[in-house]
Order: sequence, then C-alpha cells, then structure tokens
Amino acid sequence: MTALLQVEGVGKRFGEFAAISDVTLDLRGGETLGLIGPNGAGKTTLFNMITGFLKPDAGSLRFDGAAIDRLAPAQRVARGLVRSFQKPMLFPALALRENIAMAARQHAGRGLSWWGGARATRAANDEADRLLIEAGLQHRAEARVADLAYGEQRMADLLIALALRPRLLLLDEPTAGLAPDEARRLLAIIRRHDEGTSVMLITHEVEIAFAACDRIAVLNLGRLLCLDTPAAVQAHPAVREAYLGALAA
Amino acid sequence: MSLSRLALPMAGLAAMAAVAALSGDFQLRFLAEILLIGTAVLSLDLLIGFGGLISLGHAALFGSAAYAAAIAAQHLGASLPVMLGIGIAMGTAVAALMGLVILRAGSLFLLILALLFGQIVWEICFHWREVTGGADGLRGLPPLSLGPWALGDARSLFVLAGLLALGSLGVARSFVASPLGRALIGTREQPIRMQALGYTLFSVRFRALLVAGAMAGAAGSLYPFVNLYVGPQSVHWTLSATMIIMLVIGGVGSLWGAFLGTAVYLALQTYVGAWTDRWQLCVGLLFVLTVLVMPQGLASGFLRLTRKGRTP
Amino acid sequence: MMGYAAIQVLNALSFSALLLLTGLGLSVVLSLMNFVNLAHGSFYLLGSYIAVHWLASGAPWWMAFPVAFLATALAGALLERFPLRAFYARPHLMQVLLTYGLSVIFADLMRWGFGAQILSPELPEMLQGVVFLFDMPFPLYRLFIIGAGFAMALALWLLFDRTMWGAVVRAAVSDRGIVETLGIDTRRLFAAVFMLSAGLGGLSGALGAGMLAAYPGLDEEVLILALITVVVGGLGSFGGTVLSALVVGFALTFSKVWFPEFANLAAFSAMIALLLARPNGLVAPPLRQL
Ligand SMILES: Nc1ncnc2c1ncn2[C@@H]1O[C@H](COP(=O)(O)OP(=O)(O)O)[C@@H](O)[C@H]1O
Ligand SMILES: [Mg+2]
Repeated sequence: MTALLQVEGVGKRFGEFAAISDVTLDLRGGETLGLIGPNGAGKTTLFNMITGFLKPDAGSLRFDGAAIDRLAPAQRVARGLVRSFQKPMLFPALALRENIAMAARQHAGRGLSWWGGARATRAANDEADRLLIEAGLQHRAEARVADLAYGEQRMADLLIALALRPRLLLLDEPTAGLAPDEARRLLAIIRRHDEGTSVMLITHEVEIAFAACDRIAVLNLGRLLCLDTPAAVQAHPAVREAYLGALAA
Repeated sequence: MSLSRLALPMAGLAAMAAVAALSGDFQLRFLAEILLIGTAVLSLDLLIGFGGLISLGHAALFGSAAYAAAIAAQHLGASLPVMLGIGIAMGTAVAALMGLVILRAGSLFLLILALLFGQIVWEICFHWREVTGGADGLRGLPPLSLGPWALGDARSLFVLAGLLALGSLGVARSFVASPLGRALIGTREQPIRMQALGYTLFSVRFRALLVAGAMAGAAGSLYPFVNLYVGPQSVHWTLSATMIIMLVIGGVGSLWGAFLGTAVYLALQTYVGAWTDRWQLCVGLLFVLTVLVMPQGLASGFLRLTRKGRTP
Repeated sequence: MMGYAAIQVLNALSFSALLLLTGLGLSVVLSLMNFVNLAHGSFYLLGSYIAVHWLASGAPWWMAFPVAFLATALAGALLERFPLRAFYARPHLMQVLLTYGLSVIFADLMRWGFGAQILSPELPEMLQGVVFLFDMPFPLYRLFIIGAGFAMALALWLLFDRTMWGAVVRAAVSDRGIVETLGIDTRRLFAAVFMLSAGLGGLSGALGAGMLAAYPGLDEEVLILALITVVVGGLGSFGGTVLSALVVGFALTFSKVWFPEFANLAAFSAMIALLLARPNGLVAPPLRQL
C-alpha cells in the first residue's frame, strides 16, 4: 500500500499559540485512519490545513504523490479530497435534496452550467435521492434543512460529502451529539462507502475509533503522540497518560 | 410546457398591448422608463437577492451602456440591434472589470469597493467632456430604428421596453433555476461549504455579475432613446442606491417585484415632485419607512395578501 | 519649487487631518458595531453649517468647535436611540438602506434650513491671513486645522489606548462575547461610541468649513472619502486609519496638482490598486473564519 496523503512537518501558529507543531503522518490508500485527541488538541486545525482552508506555517502536503500546498480548497476537492465540518454546515434555506444535489452537480462538472442545466439538475437530483434512500431520509427530501432534527442534519452533512464521491473523506466528529443508534447508522453508511474511499475520522469517542479504524493517530497539544494500530495505541504509555488515563480516571 | 409558465408572459403581453393602445405619449415614455430601469433593478436583484452581493455601483453598468449606445448612435445611427449589442457588450465588459475589483473582498468591502468603482466610472463620464458632454450629457440623438422602420415614437419605445423587460424576466427565472443560479444562492448561504464542495466563490459570483451586467447593459442601451438624452446622473452612485431602494420596495429576491418597486418609486418622484419642492425629503422618508415597516417589500406583502385570500 | 512642494504637503496634511477625524468616527462604529453608517457625511455637513453660523454670530469663536461637536453628538444620540439601535444586528443591506435614506432626508432638511448656496465661515481675525513659507503664502487657518486635527487625534488615541473605557472598546472590537461576559452593558457602550462618532463627524465639519466651505452635496463627497479612508486603513485599527488618512489626503491633493481635471479619478484608481494589493487594508486585522 502506498501513501495517499502525506503530511510532513506541518505546523500552524495563531499568534503566539502553536496549534499544530511539526506533525508528520501518512494515510494509506483504502485505510480508515482515526484522529483522536482531547479538545483543543488541533485536530480541526489539521483538517483545515489538509483541505486548504488554512495555510500551514511550515511543512508540506502531498496527495496521491503530488504536492497540494498551493491548491485552493476547491481545487483539492476536484482531486477527491473531501471534508465534512464539525458543526454541520448546510444551506439552511434550501431543501435537503437540493443541498445534496449542489454537491452532485459540481462533482459531475455541471455546477456552473446554465443552458442545458435541466439535464444536469435531473441527474444530480437522482443521485441525491439515491443517497437519501440509502440513509432512510427520502421522506425528508423536500424539507428545508433548517427544519431538520440535529441528527438528520449530521446525516445530511455526510451525504453531501459522499455525493462528491471522495477518494479521501475527512470527517470531523461526525457522530458528536448523536444518540447511539443514530451514530451506528451513520457509521454504517460510512463503512458502506469506504470501498475505494479512504477515510480520516476525527472523533471524541475512543470506542468508535478503536472499532472503526485501521490505524489511529493521537494528537495532543498540537503534537503527534503516536500513529499505530488500535491495539498498539491502547498500549502506548504516553497515550495512556495524556489521554486515556484522563478518561479512565 | 405547462400552462402556468405561458400564462404570465401572455398576460404581460396582453397588458402591454392594452396599455400601448390606450395611453398617451407622456405616459408611454414614462412607462418605458419604468420598464428599462426596472430591468436594471431586476439584474441587481440577481446579485443582491440571490448572491447577497450588495453592489453600490450598479448604475455604472447601466449608465456606461447608456453612454456607449448614445455615443455610438451619434456616429453610426441608432439601429436597434446595434444599440442592444453595444449596450450588452459594454455592460458585460464593465461588469467584468468591476468583478475583478470588487469580488476579492468580503461583503462590507465589496459594498464600498463597488461604490468606488462606480464613482470612477462617473468621474470619467463627468469629466471626459469631448466624448460624454460632461455635466450637460449628450442630447440630439438620432431616433431608434430597425431597418426601414422608425422606432422613435413613444408607442414603439414602450413596446420595445416591455419586450426587453419580459425577456429579461424570463432570462432571470431561467438563471435562478439553473445550476449556476443555485450555486449563487449557495455562495450566499454558506460560502465556506461551497468551497468544500469544490466551487470557487469567485467564478460563481463573477459569472453572476456578467449576467447582471449584460442585462443592465441591454436596458441601458435603450434608455437614452426614451428622452433622447443621457446625463452623468445615470452613472452616479445615488442611482445605484436608488436602485437598491426600488428593489427593496418591490421585494428583494422576487424578480418581478423589481418592476413594481421601480414603478412605485418613479411615480412618487414624478407626482410628488410636481407637487412640492421637498420631494427629496419625501423620497428619503419613503426609503426609511420601507426599511422600517416592510423590509420584505411590496411583492411579498402582496403575495401574502393574495394567499390569505385563497386559503381561509 | 521647494516652497510650492512644501505648500502642497501642508495642504495634504490639513486635508488628512479632516479625513482622519471623520474616518475615525466612521471606523469605530463600523468595527465595533459592524454597522455601516452612510449618514456619517450628514454629521460632517451639519458641523460645518453650525460653525458657519456660530462664527457669524459674534459669540467667542473658539467655542464653535466644541459646540459643533456637542450638537452633532446630541443628534447622533437621538438617532442612535431611534432607529439605528434596532439595526445593529440587521444585515448590512438594511443598514445601508436605512442610513442612506436618512442621509437623503438630512440633506434635504439642511438644504431647506441653510439654503443651497455655498457658505464660507468668517474666520476669526487671529486665524485670518497667510504665513509665508519659502516665500510662498499659506493660509494660517490650514495650519490651525493641522494642529487641531492631529491634537484631537492624539487625544483620541490616548482615550482608546490609555483609559479603561478605551480598553473595553478595544476588547469589544476584537471579541464582543468577552465584554458581555464581563458584565459590561454593550448597549450603553454602543450608544456612547456612536455619539463620539457623530461628534467627531461634526467637529471635523466645523474645522473643515474654513477650508472646504459648506454646501449641499458636500455630505456625500465627505462620506465617500471617509469610507475610502476606513477601508484603505483596515477595519478596527487606529494606526491603519491614521496611515490611510495620510495616504488618501496626499493622493487626492497631489492628484489635484498633477491631473487637475481627473484628480478624483486618479486618486480613486490608486486607492483601488492599493486595495487590490492589500484586500484587507493597510493594517489588516486577523480574521477567524472557521
Ligand atoms: N482561526 C483560529 N484563530 C485562533 N485560534 C484558533 C483558530 N482555530 C483554532 N484555534 C485554536 O487552536 C486550538 C486547536 O483548535 P482545534 O483545531 O479546533 O482543536 P480540536 O479540533 O482538536 O478540538 C484551540 O485552542 C483553538 O482555540
Ligand atoms: Mg475540532
């Protein structure tokens, strides 16, 4: 297996505060990599740099062998690097189906079309409906996203990302605030799509990381503590001290 | 094609025919002016109502097209397709330039940069006397024509303006329903998510601005022929602000409300202006009252009323 | 030649002083309350008219400036109470419409009350006349503008940088939430800041009357220049506004010297070029998007 994503020596400061320092990690094609760490460890900041929303102060990023440091967020998406957001970031005034179709149209390269847009719109709506059926949300397709329940919004956030057919899907705490059965359904959908898709999963819930991930990276105070298989991470002394220890106590 | 999609344009055409047959010269020219400025306001609605792009320089697109058409008419004669072509080209070109300047910054800066850009265009029109006539503007334009037919009379101008307005309304509707129009709404609602979907904010907004520029330019190209005059106030930022007011009176995002708002505003200006020197005061009060009392605009108030009427 | 350049530099400085005072008022409201006040030019013009009439009245001349400050601050206070206060949380579009509408009303009221002609104040004797610099005459009053303007700016800087109140305002600019959790009444804070802003507009108008006179339409011209000053300076930065007042003042003055016909055109284009190079202004505040 070759590395799909390589993060090398990446750092980011906000003023005096070092949110990420010298993080190096790689993500192999096809794997699900967990990213865990206490609140404020810098997980979201790392995502923001990988997806181009923040510029690193140091280090470099490669995706599929090519440097992506100078690419804008949209250009990274075009290469298959897709993210979700910690707080669901949807189009509240638009219908659920339209939220997903917005992504599907852009993925089909018709996001900015006008003449002949009707066909693109139909195809995108079909794609959106397919995803909605899969998530069991087809009855909510016409509802304004602002009127959806929180769990439905989280699911919508994921479906939007999936409509872009990612090669690498970066999910920022997708199960936060969900009831256990909602979380299970969401994870099942992620699993169903992870053929041909690699996943990087930020989560707060250690059990989820251990159950769903091939490898786990632990971040603390902006530094990478370790990157290993779940079993090895669980046994890692520094991790136990910094993170699991706090939970166990 | 469904009946309701045809019903509105047909009703519009019928109303136009009736008005054209029944109204006098003065009213027809006044109505033509409403329809042309209304078309420019409609194009502004695409930016504000769907893109959240509050441009305080929209008159620059409309007015520069009006000047371009007027100047061309003095040299080439006022053939309708040539005028429209020049106006659309000018409106689009100025919009492109404007887009490069204003679309790089956030909402507040966009507003002010658009104002600055518009004032630069105004400075050019006001000071480049040999070409634009400076403060006096341009008079003595040849009447509009199409091949052998003269179109300079009030009735023809009204019909032309009406056709342009209807056509623009159709274009605007198709734009809003198209993927591009949807993307524009997306950039207003959630710009960060749009980037995470692979959209480049600039490309979406730039295209919308070009569409609005072309539409405003088409309206601007006919405007000088209504009164056979074009002056620097057609580019000034006060007209840009007035267009926003017209839009708000009519209802932001309602498309046809643009014409309603323009009609209400221009009618007040004309009739109150005839009745008191303090019409500016009245106009200002109208602005303020609109914003305070019905920020949703007349169009939505009207719709709410009719809907209430239908569902008891 | 030397003298001519020196005179133009002083001209630019006196213009910059006016822009600085007007711009600071606009800037603090914009960055603190996120409120776009297109009626700011009206405060300036009102201040000019007050000064013209005060100086003609025979009362002690120097009081024209505090009176203009207080009168416009009072007008600002009333306006803040109704209707502006309700619009702080509204979208910029609504703020723009409301304040533009108000500026149209005020413009017509002032035209009604003060007439449509160009009014110049009768300057007090001690500020009349010219001084000679390198054998070139320069109006004494403009030196007064430079002195008074920059002294006032210095006082404001001390107010914002050295007093508790200023610290609260600065904290509120960078993070509204923090100040609210400290239990400070932001409503009163905003009202006070708006009054200060209006007063500064009026004060710069009073000072500027002796240089630019007072006439209908000046409100708009000043508003546009003040907006440029604020935007070029970068929001929420005192130093940025000072720097940009100088940049705009010099750009306008010297483009009048070099391209008399297209002065504004040249200056505006330069400002746009500057903003393209630095889209967030000369001194850009850090922004947190995500
Ligand atoms: N744009 C920003 N400006 C300033 N500080 C930031 C910014 N983004 C994040 N931070 C800070 O960086 C630290 C890491 O944040 P984040 O990456 O969101 O943590 P996590 O996602 O691991 O909980 C936090 O202390 C946060 O306050
Ligand atoms: Mg986070």
